[in-house]
Amino acid sequence: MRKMNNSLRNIRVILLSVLYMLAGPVLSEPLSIETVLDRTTISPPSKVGFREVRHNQMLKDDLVMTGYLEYLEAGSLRKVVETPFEEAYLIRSDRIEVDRQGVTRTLSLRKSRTLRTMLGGVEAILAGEAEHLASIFDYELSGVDEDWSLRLLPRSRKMAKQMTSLTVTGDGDSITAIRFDLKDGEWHNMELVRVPDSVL
Amino acid sequence: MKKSASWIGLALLATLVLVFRLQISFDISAFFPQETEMAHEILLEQFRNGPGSRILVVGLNGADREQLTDLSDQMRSELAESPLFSNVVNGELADDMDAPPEPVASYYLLMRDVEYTKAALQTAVDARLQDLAVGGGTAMLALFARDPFLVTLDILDRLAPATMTGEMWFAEDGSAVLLIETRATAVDIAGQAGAVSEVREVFASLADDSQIVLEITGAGAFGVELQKTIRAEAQKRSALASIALILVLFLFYRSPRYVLLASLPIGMGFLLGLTAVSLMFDSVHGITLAFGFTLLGVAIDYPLHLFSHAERGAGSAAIGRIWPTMRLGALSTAIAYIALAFSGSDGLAQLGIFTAVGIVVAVLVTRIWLPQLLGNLASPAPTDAASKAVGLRQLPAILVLVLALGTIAATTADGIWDDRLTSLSPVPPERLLRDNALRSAAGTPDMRYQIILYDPSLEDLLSKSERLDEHLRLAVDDGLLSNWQSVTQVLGSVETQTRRLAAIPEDVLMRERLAEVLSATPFRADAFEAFLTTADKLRESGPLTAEQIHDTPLSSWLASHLIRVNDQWVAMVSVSNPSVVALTERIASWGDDIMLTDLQSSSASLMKNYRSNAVTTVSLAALLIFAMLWYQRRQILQVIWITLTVISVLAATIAVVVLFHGQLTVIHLVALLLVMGLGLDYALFLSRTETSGERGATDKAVMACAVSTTLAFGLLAGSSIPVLRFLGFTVAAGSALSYVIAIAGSRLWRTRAT
Repeated sequence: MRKMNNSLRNIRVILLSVLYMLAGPVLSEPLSIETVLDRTTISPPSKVGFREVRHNQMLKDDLVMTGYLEYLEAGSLRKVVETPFEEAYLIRSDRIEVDRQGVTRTLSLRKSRTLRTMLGGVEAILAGEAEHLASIFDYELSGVDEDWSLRLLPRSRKMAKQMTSLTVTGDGDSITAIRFDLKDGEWHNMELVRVPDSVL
Repeated sequence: MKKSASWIGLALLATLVLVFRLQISFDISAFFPQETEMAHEILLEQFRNGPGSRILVVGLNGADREQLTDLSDQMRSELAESPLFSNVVNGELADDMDAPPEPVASYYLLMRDVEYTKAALQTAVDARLQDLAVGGGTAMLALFARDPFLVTLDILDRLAPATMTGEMWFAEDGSAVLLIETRATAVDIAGQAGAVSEVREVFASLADDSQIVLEITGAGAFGVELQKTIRAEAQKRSALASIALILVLFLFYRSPRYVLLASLPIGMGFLLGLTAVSLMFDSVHGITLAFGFTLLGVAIDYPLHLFSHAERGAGSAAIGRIWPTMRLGALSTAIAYIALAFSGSDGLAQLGIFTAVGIVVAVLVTRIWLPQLLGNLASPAPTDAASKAVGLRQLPAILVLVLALGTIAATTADGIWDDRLTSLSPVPPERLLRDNALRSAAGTPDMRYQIILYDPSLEDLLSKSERLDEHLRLAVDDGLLSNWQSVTQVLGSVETQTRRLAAIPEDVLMRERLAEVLSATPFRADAFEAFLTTADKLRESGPLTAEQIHDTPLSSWLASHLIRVNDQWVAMVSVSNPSVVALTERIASWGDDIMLTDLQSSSASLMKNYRSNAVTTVSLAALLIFAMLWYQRRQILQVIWITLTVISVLAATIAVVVLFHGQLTVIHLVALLLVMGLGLDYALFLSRTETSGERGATDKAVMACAVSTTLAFGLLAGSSIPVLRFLGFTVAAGSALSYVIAIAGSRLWRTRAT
């Protein structure tokens, strides 16, 4: 369970990344890291549907999950998996609650150095701190306003041992996907679908 | 010249022996009592090698929580990669899912009961698929592939040296806390020094020039500190005492030649005392050296007596006159120290032998060699009147005795003896308190309470431990404790391991079941091949043995939970957060051979035995000394006066000590032996039948002895090592009191001589 907790922590990065970036307004200025960063703000409550594909060497078929993410309030996120099984994760403060088949486990989400660095990166994106971001990640920004991609490469050797890159893509109006590339060909790709405010 | 050549030859021979033989050790436990009782042997082994003894406790403070959190995290990561440590934790969960250590990686299926039915495999595989929906990464996938039941995680959690909540540990004062388990045992001071140095280097490289302060506690760290402190103290105090002695010698005798000559008895005493100890023991403790050299300082009395009396005649004639008195004094002191050698610890035995041999050698050098060297220095003997007995008065000693006993009675309502084992510890109490405060933040198993099992057969012991595990599991459910660590969490009995091995299905059957389960999941058919391989290897290797664990990272953990004492195997089970009364009652119902030991009360009973033995042997020595005194003096009033003086000196010293130190420890007992020797020496000389001219020399000699001893031990009383401080204070007070009481009864208030 101890190790599992580390894995569970990763979800927070994805959730944060998704929700924070999703609410970004339309990119209308010339494409630059500053432009992207300027638009990465979010305010709760927000909700977004997802279709996530996970690929790794243990699976013959990719694991495809669907469900939704909720940004309930500041510091409180929820990921609900609806298919192929039902499971919910509530990330609040530095803890994560896993609800699996009616049984809730609470796990600590104290930041590891790697996770802190990753979250620090997300927070830097939110805060528009290009300088801070550059101290954690090397980045490559490509594309145009309507179809851009921000690829973040961890600079820390320790973090790089776990994650090759974090790629955020957008279509001009919103974030469309977040992809984590891990070691040994493993990757997680989460496509996002904006949920209308009326659903919230 | 012939005599000088003999002594020089002896010194060279002793030096040669030391060059080839001398080994210095700093094992604190050498000063713990030697025991033959099983319960006490186990208790001492727990101190040396029990759970937690290999833990270095690191505290970081002096900055805000955020900075401390960062540094704690970084230090954990860096130190975890060092080969000097087997475990580094700070309360947070590990960042990386590295491969579990051996023998857990290969034998985990024999460490727990696992069900291999199709339904159980299905449950495990489904749970891992859901886990994959959350996390990922190479290490996690490797873990799943090797252990779909995640048995290893449970095993590793139970092996952690503290309660792993996932929260970083912070002490009440805000210090971030890390626990670092060393591969070196606590008594391997060189290994511990390397470990402590590594921690300091990592800290220095990460903390840069921040204001963060590092503190390291734990048995190993204390041993390292003790080694350094002893070295520094020995050098500093020896130099100060030497300067003080030289000044006193100059003050009294005003000749540099006397200073040189006075160093010969002490030097030879030290050399031969050390040689005797190094020949009788495998290694000489650092405290024996630092402490013994100071104790030997009392041997300066012998040349001082000779010098004072030689001023009134040739050295050989002077020693002839005082030799019976000097011999009695030296022999009495040596007997007291020999008694110490039988009182029950290697450390004190070394100290007793070192001092006794040193004193005998010093007095022999004074008797045989010094007069020859002194011969030409002394002025001619003046003609003198006939010898007269000194008028002795018992009243001063009686008054002092009554006053002292009254003081002792009034100040020791809780008993005169401090029987805590920690009272022998040379570690300052504030450091021990700090260690306790940091450890409690980490929720380490309660070191005070442990469950002990023992049996001559390892297999029977492991079976007992497994039954105990069952009992403890229920006790945890009932809230009597929160957790426990026992050897059988890693090393099951052969019977249990064989049963677990037999439960693993044949390879073909297991593959069939797993394939059937996996076919309905997104997992590849060979996703859990590593698990099948592990199971297959187990069928070939058979049960895990204690010997196999010795070469693995878990060897130190095993050594902390399974030991061999005499012909018994002993399992030490540590418990966390026990409800002592309820758990003790519950344990009583589990059988006579299971006991919950309370380290504190057991150690108090151990110390009580130890101290009683020491008091008994020293009392016997006192009777022997009294018999010798009677044999030599044969004057009832003199013998009574000498005895009364020594008793009142001891009582007055005890009164002063309890006023300043509260209670007496075995260290005070050692010091009181020396005080007895001093009191006896002064009383013997001041009660001699001698001429009036000799009396002047005696007075001068006794005063010089008292001043030099009080000064030298007074310097020791300023030591940072509590043991040395106790010794220095007691002897300095005892020396001054000896002089005052003996002088009062023999010179100031003397009666008409009969």
